[in-house]
Amino acid sequence: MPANLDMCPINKQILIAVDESDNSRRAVSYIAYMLGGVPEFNITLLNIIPVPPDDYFKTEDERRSWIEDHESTAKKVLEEYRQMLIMSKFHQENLDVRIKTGDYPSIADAVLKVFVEISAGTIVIGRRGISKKEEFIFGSTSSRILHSIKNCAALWVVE
Amino acid sequence: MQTNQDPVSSSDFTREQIRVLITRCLDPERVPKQFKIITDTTDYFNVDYDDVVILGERPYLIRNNEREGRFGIDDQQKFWVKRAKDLTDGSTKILKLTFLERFEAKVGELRFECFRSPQKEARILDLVHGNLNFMQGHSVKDSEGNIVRVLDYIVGKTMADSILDLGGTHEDYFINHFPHVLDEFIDLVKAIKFLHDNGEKHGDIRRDHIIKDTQTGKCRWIDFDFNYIHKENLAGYDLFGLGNILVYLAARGDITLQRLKKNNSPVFYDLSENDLNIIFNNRVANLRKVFPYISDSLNFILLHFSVGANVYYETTDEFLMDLQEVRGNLP
Repeated sequence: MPANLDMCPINKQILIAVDESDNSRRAVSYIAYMLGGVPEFNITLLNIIPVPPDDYFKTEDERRSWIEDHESTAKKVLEEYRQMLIMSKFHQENLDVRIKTGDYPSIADAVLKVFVEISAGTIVIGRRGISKKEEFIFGSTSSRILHSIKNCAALWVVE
Repeated sequence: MQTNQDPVSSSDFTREQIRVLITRCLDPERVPKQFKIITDTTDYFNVDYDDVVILGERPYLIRNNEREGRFGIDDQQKFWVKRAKDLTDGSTKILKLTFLERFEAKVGELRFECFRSPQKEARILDLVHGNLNFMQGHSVKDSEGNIVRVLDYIVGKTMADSILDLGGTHEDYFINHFPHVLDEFIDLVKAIKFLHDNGEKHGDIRRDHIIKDTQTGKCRWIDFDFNYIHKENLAGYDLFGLGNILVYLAARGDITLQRLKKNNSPVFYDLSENDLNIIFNNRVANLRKVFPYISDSLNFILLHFSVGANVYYETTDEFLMDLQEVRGNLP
């Protein structure tokens, strides 16, 4: 279920939901360019890793290895994005990096949950540019966030 | 050395007791002189005709492997799906042994990773217990913890096959038989809505996964062990399957471009890309162009599954409401 978003504050706390895609890199670059050097902005870089159900894996070792691989990739990517922001004059103390690994069928719902947890005022995501067919079958993360978010400062979707 | 009176494995049955149970279920000449007793089904290739599998302290006499033709496509044996006799009451069961498989599903041009999930099917069997729009059964773990699904055997043919003989012309079928077919379909959609309302999905909605049970007359969903990461829409792929079935039922078969062209139908030249199925681009979704007596309200639903659709059903609720409105306008 989407988180309760009725009481989102307007503030300078920004949540950037990312993965290793070029779209995410563009979203981080956009924020670096737009807000680099502007004081008081806090950025949280978030990577959601949805773990498949238990019986997707043949053994527990396979499951553990799958999670380790994905978390390792996420750490590298998040560090790369963090460095991009530092290079653009964000202070290290204003940057937070989070990896959420777990049973998250909907990435949008998982992003919104963190959004509420950290009392952010803005969500930034890169648009994957999925096909009409794919959206028909699986839905769209950006559309779901857009339709779930309420009374909130902003959702920035970077093409 | 084990004698005929020793209990076999973890069950309380002796080999002799099992032999007696077999003689009650089979003609004397078919009673096997020797049989294996199996409690670990991990190697399902090793579970063979005339073996006895003991699950949850019930012995099952294995008969044939099921074939895809009954449960899916093609005619290949499914070595992990066994027809069996429950030796305690003689009833026919289907045993689905654990087969963990991952594969890439291809739906039109769309590709995504699927996997078989015995856990999911076991959960749903519990959830739909007593609901006659679903196959019935229960799950039990074998001695190694493999989840085996013990299913009641359904006598009947697929819903898809059952409608082919209804009516003479399509117009006769549509006016005199389709309303009842739609009633059955609405029941099936309600059944899928029940899954979605409980956070589950069927996962492999196809017309050959509906069996019309000759005993109850009810159409029943079978085979729900397919799973995939459904991302932002739990219902999306199920709804796509339901839409395809509705188009098939309304048309009494697939209306393909190839078929229209072969029959030299003038409709073929009147169709545009927007009239075709959103994923299977050789199937016509805009049936009103083929069958002009199909109502606007029904065709409106069908167009949600066409290339030209601007809006999609996001939930089974929305789909069901529109179906019920259409049904209300039919005799």
